[in-house]
Amino acid sequence: MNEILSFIITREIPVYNKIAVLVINFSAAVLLLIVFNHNKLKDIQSKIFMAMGAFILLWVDFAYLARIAGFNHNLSLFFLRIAWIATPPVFYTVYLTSVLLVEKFDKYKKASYSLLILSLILSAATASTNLIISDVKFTGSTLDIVYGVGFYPFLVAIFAVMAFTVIPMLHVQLKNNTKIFLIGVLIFYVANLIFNITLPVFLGITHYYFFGDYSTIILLGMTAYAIIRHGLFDIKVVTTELLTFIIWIILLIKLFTPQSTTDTIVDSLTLTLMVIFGILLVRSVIKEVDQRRKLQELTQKLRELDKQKDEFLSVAAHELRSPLTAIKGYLSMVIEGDTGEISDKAKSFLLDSTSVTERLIRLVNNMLNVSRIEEGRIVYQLENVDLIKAVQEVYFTFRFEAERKGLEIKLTVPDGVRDNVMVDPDRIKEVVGNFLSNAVKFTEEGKVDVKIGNPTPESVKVEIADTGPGISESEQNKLFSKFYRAESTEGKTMGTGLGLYITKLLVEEFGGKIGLESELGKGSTFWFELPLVKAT
Amino acid sequence: MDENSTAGVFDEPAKKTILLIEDDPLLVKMYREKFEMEGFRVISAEDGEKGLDAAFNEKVDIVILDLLIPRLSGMDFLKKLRESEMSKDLPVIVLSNLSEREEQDKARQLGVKEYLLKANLTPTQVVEKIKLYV
Repeated sequence: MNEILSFIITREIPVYNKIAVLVINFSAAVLLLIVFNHNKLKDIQSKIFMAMGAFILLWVDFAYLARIAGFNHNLSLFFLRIAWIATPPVFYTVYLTSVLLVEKFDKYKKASYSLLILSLILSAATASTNLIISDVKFTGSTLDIVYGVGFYPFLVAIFAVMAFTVIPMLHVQLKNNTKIFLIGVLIFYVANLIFNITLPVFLGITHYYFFGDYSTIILLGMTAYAIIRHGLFDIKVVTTELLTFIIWIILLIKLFTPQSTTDTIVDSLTLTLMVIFGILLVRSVIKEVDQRRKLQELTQKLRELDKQKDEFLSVAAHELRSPLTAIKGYLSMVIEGDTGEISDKAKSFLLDSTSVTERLIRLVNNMLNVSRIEEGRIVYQLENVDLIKAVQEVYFTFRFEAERKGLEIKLTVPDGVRDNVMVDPDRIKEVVGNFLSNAVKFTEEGKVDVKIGNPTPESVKVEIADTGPGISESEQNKLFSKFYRAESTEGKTMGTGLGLYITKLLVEEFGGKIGLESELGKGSTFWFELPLVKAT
Repeated sequence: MDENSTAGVFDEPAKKTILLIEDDPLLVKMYREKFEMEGFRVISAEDGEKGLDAAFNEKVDIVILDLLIPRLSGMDFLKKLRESEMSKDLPVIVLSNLSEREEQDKARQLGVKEYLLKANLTPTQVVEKIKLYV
C-alpha cells in the first residue's frame, strides 16, 4: 500500500495513470463515434452528448498535462486554467442531458442554451484572472492548486447544478435507459464530491484527484447507452462498432510503446488499414441492418395491402352479387309465369338474359376465388359427394341455354358407374360449370356430350365433348394458365381467362387430373378424373 | 307448428310467417312478392336489431337471414337468437352473398338449417328450401 502511495505522490507519472488517461481518451472517442454513427447529430441529445464528451476530454487531459508540466510552473498553471474553463460546462451538459432524458427540455430550451454559453463565458473570463485558480504549487512532487476567492461561489453553483440534475429525476417515473444514466451521474458526482472537492479543498489531499476525473468515463458510457437505447439501437451494429474501435485502441497503444522504427512503421500502416476497413465494415453493417429494417417495414405494408385487397374483393363481390341476384330473381319469376302468361318470344329473350346473368355471376365467383385458391387460404369443406348427382344439377342449368342455341346436349351415364368422391360439393359444381359454360359458349352448331365413366376401378372421369372450333396443339398447353384466352375465342365472348385456371387448381386440390383432347375444326373434349372413395 | 295453427285462428291460421332480414329494399320487395305468392306471411327487417325485435315479439316460423346487415351483424343476430330460450330452436336459413367458408362454418355451428348463396338461386329455389323446414 505504501509503495503505491509513494508511487502516486512522485512527480513521475505512474504508468497506470498514463494508461488510464489513454483508455479514457479512447473510450470517449469510441463512445462519441458510436453516438455520432447512430444519430448523426440529428437530435439535440446527441449534440449535447458530443459537447459533454469534448468538455470531459478537455478537463481530464489538461488536468493531466498540468501534472506532466510540473517542471514548468507557468505552463502547468496555463494547462490547469484551460481545464478549469471546461469544468462548468461539464457539469452543465450533464444537467442538460438529464433535462432532455426526462423530456422537459422544450420548456427551457432557450434558457438552457443561454446558460450554457454564459457558463462558458464566465469560466473563460475568470480563467485569465486569479479569481478561481490563483496559483499552482508543487510540494515535493505533488501538484497543489491554490484556489482564489471566486472558487467558493463556484462550488455553491456546482452543488446547485448537481441538485437540479438529480432531484427532478428522482421525482418522475424513469425508463430503463434513463435509470442507467442516473447511475452514471451519481457515480460521477460522488467521485467528484470526494476526490475533487472534499479531499483537496477541505482536507488538502490532492493525490486522488484523478479518481474524480476518471469517473467521467463511466458517466460517458452510461449516457451513450441511454441515448442510443432511446433511439434506434441495433445490437449487431453496436457490437461491430465496439470490436472495431477496441482493435483500433489496442493497435494505437501498441504504437506508443517503445519499439524499433520498422515496427512503428508497420504498426502505423496496420492501424491505418484497420481504421479504413473498420469504417467500411461498420458502414456496411449499418447499411445491412437498415435494409433489413426497411424490408420488414415493406413486408408489413404488403401484408396490410394484401388484407385490404382481400377485404375489397370480398365487399366488391358482395356488392356485385346483390344486383345480379335481383336481376336473376325477377327474370326467373317472369319466366316461371308469376306475372301471368308471356309470349314464347319474350320468354326466349328473357332466358337469354338469364344465361348472360348466370355468366356474370360465374365471372364474379371466379375473380373472388382465384386469389384465395392461389394463396391456399380457401377452406375446403370435403364431403362424400355423388359426382353424378352434382354433374346432373349443373347440367340442367345449362341445358336450356344449349337448346336455345340449337345445340344437341346429352348426359350419358352407363349403368353401374361408381361415383363416390371426396370433394367440396360447391367447388366441384364450379368445375363442371366452367367446363359446360365453355362448351356451350364456344359451340355454334352441333352438340355437347357429357359422359361419366370409370376409366379404372379406382377413379371416375367426367368428359365434356363439344363440336366447337377446337384448339390448336400449341395452345392446348397454355390453356390452363392464368389469364390465358385461346386465340380462336378472342373478340368473341367475354372472359377473364380465369375459368380453366381455377378449374385445374380445384381438381388438383381434390387429388384429380385434368386435361383435354382437341383438334382444330373438330371440336374439343375436356375431362377431369377424380379418385373414388374406397368402399369400406 | 301445431301450436301456431291453433293460436292464430283470428288471422288466417294456415299461413306460416317468414321473418326476412335483408337490407337491400329491392331484394326485400322481390322475395316478399314471391313468398306471399307462395302463401306465406312476410315480416321484413332491414337490420339485425329490428330483426331481433321482430323475432322476439312476433310469431315467426322461420328466419331468412342476410349476413351483411347494419347495426347488428347476421352472426351477432344468430348468437343473440340462440341465447334466448324462446327463440333458440327457431329455424334459420342464411341467404347471403358472402361465400367465405369461414362464415359458412360459423353459421353452421350456430345451427342454421341452410347456407344459401343468393346469387346462385332463384326465388323459386329459395321457396323450395323454405318448404323443407316449415
